[in-house]
Amino acid sequence: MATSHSERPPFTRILVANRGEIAVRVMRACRELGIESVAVYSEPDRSALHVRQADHAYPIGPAAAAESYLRIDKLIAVALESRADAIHPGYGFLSERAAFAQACADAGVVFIGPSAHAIAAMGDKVEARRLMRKAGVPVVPGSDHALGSDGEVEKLASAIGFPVMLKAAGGGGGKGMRLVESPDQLKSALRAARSEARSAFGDDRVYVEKAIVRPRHIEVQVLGDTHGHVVHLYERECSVQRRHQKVIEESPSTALDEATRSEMGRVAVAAAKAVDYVGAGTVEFLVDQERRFHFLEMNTRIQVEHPITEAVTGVDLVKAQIEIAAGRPLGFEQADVVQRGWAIECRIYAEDPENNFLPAPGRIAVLRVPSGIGIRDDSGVYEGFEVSTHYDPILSKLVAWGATRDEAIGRMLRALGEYVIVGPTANVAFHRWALRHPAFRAGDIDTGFIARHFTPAALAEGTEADLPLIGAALAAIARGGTAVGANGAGPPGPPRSRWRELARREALRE
Amino acid sequence: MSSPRPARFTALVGVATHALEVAALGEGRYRIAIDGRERIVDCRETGAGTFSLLIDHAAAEVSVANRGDEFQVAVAGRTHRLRLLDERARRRHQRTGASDGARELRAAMPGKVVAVLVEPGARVERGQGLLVIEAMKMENEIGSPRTGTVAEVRVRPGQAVEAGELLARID
Repeated sequence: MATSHSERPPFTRILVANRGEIAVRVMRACRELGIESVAVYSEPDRSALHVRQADHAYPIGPAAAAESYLRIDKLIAVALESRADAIHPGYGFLSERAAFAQACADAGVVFIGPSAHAIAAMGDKVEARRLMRKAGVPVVPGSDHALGSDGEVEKLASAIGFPVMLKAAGGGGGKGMRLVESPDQLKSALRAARSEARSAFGDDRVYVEKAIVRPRHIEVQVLGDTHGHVVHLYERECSVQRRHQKVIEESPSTALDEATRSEMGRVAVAAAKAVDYVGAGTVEFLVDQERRFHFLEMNTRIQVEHPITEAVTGVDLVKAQIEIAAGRPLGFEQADVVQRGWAIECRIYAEDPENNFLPAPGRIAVLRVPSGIGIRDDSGVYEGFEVSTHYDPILSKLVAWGATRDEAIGRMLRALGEYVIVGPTANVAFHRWALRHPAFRAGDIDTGFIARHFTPAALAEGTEADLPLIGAALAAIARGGTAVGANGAGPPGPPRSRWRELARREALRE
Repeated sequence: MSSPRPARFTALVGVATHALEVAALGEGRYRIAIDGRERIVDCRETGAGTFSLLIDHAAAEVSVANRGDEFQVAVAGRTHRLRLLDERARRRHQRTGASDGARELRAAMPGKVVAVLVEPGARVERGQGLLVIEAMKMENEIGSPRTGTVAEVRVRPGQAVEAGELLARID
């Protein structure tokens, strides 16, 4: 789907209804296609990277997403005012709200994504299960409809047999999800799942599925155009998760043989066709220890981890989304899509792995980004940027490509070693731990990998204990002692002036 | 060009304390003693807050940021936190009495209390979960800063909290 230079750009101006790294990613695609980009920003995001990257930018309200990035009325108003002919929703925020797709259509602006109908069908997790079963897609054994009463849940749970999974009917992403190992845990798990589902989706209905023991999370990327062509772009393994949130992804997966891989691809295409899917989408599966796969859900948007598919297939998925939305045909067949080499993505989050992964925002004092062969860093921040507490703690996505899995891992470890982020605490050392772990190296991963293997103490291994002390002391001296000991009252004492003296002497050393 | 009077610091790393002495030898070289172990460090500031170090020809790079005496040092992808006190600050620190962790648990950032996991009077271990707070779209369990008894819990589930707000006290 390469646009030739002589071809007219598919749109004139695209409004990017998002922020952070994905907004920057979409704007890069726009620029490559000769399309102008329109940023929207909340008050604290005036100096965010996506505003700096855009051709035009409009304020849309205060920090709280509910009053800015989630306001359909404001976004449509900006689209009309800026004369944008299309809107890209990114991921998160409004990307999977059928009402937003509908509002775009009503305003005469192209929504870059599937139809409101497809979003709604896949967004209702119970309806999606029913549709998928009808299309011959294997689903996890469980309820056919959302369960209102607790009694119904209990009855069905004992019928399928424990362990079971409670899930929110109103949406995915790990919200309202609870593993229930035995009947006595059911009541409290149900209460928790319902309350989480209510606050996340405004809908406390749940459904029950058989829990798959030590599942792998493997998803298939699909692309469908408005001419009825649907292809898949192979799988992404996303089993390294913490509390149902993906942390490390790779493509291909070490778990699949060729037969399973092509069968999953075929089924994913069937799933997309069942809802007349248009655009980029992802069919998520749980794969059990016997390599049987079961439909989990379909994400009707671009995924965070899309770059690893781009790395192994050579297809620019965001550009493809834009061209499909403009009505252009895919321009390639299933047989043209090949997996080449291996790609890994590490999500760089502002969180502290040594402190229970607590979000650790703050101003980025030092940022050095890795580069070199096979490395891609999709970032939403810059040195000097204040990482706010209002949004996702994702800073960037680091992607390494290699001819083999070993080469990709080696490259990723090298790149993580080059990554310097000071200010917010980032999870770089956590990734180094994971990629070195014997189970990860052996491809022996499932969604319990982190919970089973990680301890904060593991991060301490192999660090030269003196270096932090030496670094801090030299920095204190370089700063002339103004920082150290300056938190007390009173005039500067002798130690401070001595540091100044040292620093002066240093400055004069030439 | 050598300094007869080294700068002295006390570094607090977790519960450990280290004595540091730094003497400038000129030409970017320093003699640094950590608890009496001496190392010669060749140092260049290669960017704001970033230092290239050569120690016995072994090359390393560290990046440093600080707020007052609280330092963050990034080494090989890992962020180390420590306090660096000069002699006056060290005396002040000793007077106020170092304990095995703060008695007050305060919110590190604005968020919403999702759950309270302990009741006043409960015995808790250092690191044991006291509260769950939702911030940055994630639920986070907040651990006890010390081993002790829960003296009071100042928040309820559903309550919004500001950064720095007192959540609980552990005696």
